[in-house]
Amino acid sequence: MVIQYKCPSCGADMEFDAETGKMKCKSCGHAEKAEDMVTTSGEDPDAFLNDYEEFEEETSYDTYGEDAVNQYLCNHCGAVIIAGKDTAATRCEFCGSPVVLGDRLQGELAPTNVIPFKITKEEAEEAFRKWCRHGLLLKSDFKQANRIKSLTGMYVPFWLFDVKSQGEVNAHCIRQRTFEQGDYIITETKHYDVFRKVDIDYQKIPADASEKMNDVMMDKLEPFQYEDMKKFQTPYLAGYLAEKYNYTDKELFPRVQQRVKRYTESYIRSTIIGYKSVQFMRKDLWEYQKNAEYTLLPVWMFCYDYKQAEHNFYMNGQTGKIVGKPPIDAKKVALCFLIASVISYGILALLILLWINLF
Amino acid sequence: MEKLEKKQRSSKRRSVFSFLCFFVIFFNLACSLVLFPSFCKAKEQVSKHVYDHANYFSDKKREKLESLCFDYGEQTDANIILLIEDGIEQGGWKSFMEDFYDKNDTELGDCAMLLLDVNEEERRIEIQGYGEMEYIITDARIEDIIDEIFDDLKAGKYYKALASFPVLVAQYKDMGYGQDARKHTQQDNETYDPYYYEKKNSSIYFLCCIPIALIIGGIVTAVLVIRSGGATTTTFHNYINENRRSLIGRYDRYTHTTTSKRRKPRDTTNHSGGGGVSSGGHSHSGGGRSF
Repeated sequence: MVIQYKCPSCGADMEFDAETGKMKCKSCGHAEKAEDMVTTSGEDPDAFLNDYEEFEEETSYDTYGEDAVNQYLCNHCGAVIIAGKDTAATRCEFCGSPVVLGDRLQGELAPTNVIPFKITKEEAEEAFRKWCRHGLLLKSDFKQANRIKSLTGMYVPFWLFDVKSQGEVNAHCIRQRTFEQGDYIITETKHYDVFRKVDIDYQKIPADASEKMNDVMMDKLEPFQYEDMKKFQTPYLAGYLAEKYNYTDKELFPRVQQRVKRYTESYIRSTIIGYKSVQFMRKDLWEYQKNAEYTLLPVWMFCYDYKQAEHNFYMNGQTGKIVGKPPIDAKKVALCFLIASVISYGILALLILLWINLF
Repeated sequence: MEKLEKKQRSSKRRSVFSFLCFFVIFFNLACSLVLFPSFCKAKEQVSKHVYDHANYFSDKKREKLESLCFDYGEQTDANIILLIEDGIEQGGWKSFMEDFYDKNDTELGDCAMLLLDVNEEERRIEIQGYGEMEYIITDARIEDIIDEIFDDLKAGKYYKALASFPVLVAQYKDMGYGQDARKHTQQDNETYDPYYYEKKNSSIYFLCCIPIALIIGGIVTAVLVIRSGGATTTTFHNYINENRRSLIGRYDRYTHTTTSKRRKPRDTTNHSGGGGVSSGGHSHSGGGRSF
C-alpha cells in the first residue's frame, strides 16, 4: 500500500528534512517529529506493520513473477506509480509527491533500524563541487563539476552483523642483534615461539544487501556513526528513494566472514610487538554470526556526465564522505611523481650535508 | 850449568803468561762479538723526532713531544717522527714524507711518521709506516688512528692530537701485525687518491639517496591517487567491542639462539689511500685526511 504524509496545517506533502531531522512541510514549513507522524488515512503506520499477518490471511493476492513491477496509485494526484521490484520508497513521477510503499517494508521485509539523512541535497551538491575542485590529480575540465546529471538521495539496504570471532595462532618470531668483534661482524638471532588466543566480539559490521549497488563502493563509504541510528519508521523515507534487500543475512555472511577474518588477523598481529620478523606457523580462525539487523543507510548518489560517459559517485548521507572513480589526469600523476621525488631527494641531500659538516 | 837452566825456565814462564793474557783478551773480544750480536745491531733512536718547520709549537711543547716520541719509540723499537709544515701543495703530502724518509733512511729504519699541514686553506694529516711499522700501523689502522684524533684536529687542538700519536703507535705494536698488513707496491702509487677517504664515505650516501627519493615520490603519488577516489578508512577498531577483553591467552617462549659470523669486508676498490713505494724504493703503509 502507498503511504504518504500530509501536513496537518495546510495539507501539502511532508518530507523528511535532513537539516532538522524532522518531517517538514514544503509549503508552510510546519515541522513534526517522525515518530509522531500519522499517515494520510489517519492511521498509525506502525499499526499496519502489526496487522500484516492478519492482512495476509484475509486478503488473497496474486503472486507476481520475480521481475514483475507493481502498480500503485498516488494518493495525491491519482496517477499510476510504477515501481521496480526492489523499490521501497520513491516519488510520484507526475506530481512529485513522496511515496513510501508500505507492503515492501512489512513483515520479514521490515527494517529494524535506519540512519536518517543528515546532509541536505544542497549541502551534498556543494560538497561534491568542492571535492572536485580540490582534487589534485583530476582532469581540469572535470574539476569544474557543473555537469551533475542527477543527484539522488537513497536509503541503501544493509545488514549490520554482530559476529563472534575466535582464533588461535602460533608464530615463529626472531630478534636480531649485530655487533663487531675484532675483525668479524657477528649476527646473533634469538628465536621465539609465540602463541596468541583471541575471542573478539564485532558489532554492527555493515554489508550492502542491494544487488544494484557496488559492494566495494558501499564499503568505502564507511564508517557510519551509529549514535544517530533510530528505530525504523516509514516517515524517515519520505522524499528519498529506498530499496529493499536482495540478499538475506545468511547469503551475505560469507562476505562478512572474510572481512572478520582479516580484522581478527590484523588484531592478532597488533599484539605481537618487538620482533624483527614474524612468521605464522598455524592460524585457526572461527567466525559465528550472533545477530544481523536489517538497516537502511543514507547515501547520496551522483550521476555525472563526463565525455559522453557516466561516472557515479557516492556520498555518505550522514558523514559526507565521498567515494567514486574520478577521471585521473595521467600527465598530472607523472608530474606529481617527479616533483615529489625531486623534493625528497633535495631534503635528503641537505640532511646528509648538514650531518657531514656537524660531525 | 844450573844458572843457565833457571834463566831458561823463567823466560819460558813469562812467554806462556803473556800468551795466556793475550788469549784471554782476544777470547773476551771474540765472545762479546759473538754472544751479544744485538749489541752490534741495536737500534739507535735518531737524535731529533719533531721537525716543526711551521714553528707552530712553543719550545716547551716541542720538548714534551720530543720526549714522548723518544719514550714510546724505545718501547716500540722504532722511530716516531712528527713533521709540522705549513702550506705543502695540494696532493703533495705523500711524496713529501717519502722524500723525507729517503733522505734519512739509514738513520730512521723502522719508522712511524706523522705529517701535519697547518695551512689554514687546507689542513691535512698524513701518516705513514716504514719497515716493520708498515705491518704494524697498516692502512686500516691508520684510518682508525685518524678517526681517534680527528675531533681534536678539527678543533685545533694539535698538541693533544700529536701527543696521542706515539701512544697509539705503541698500542698497535702490542697487538702485532694488522689484519690488512701487506707490502705496498708501485700500483698503490699509481692509484693514489688523496681524497680517497672522504669520497669513500660520502659518495655512497648521495648515491643511496636516489632510490630512496624515488620510493618516497612513488608513495606520495600513490597515496594521492588512492585518496582521490575515496579510500577505505575502517579497521578492526571501528567494529570491535572494546568493553570486553579480546586477548584471552598468550605466551612468548624463547627457544634458542643462532649466531653467524662473517669477516669484515675488505676494501676491493681500486683506489689507494696513502700507502705506496717511495722513489728511493722504500715501501710503506699510509693514509691521510683533509680537515
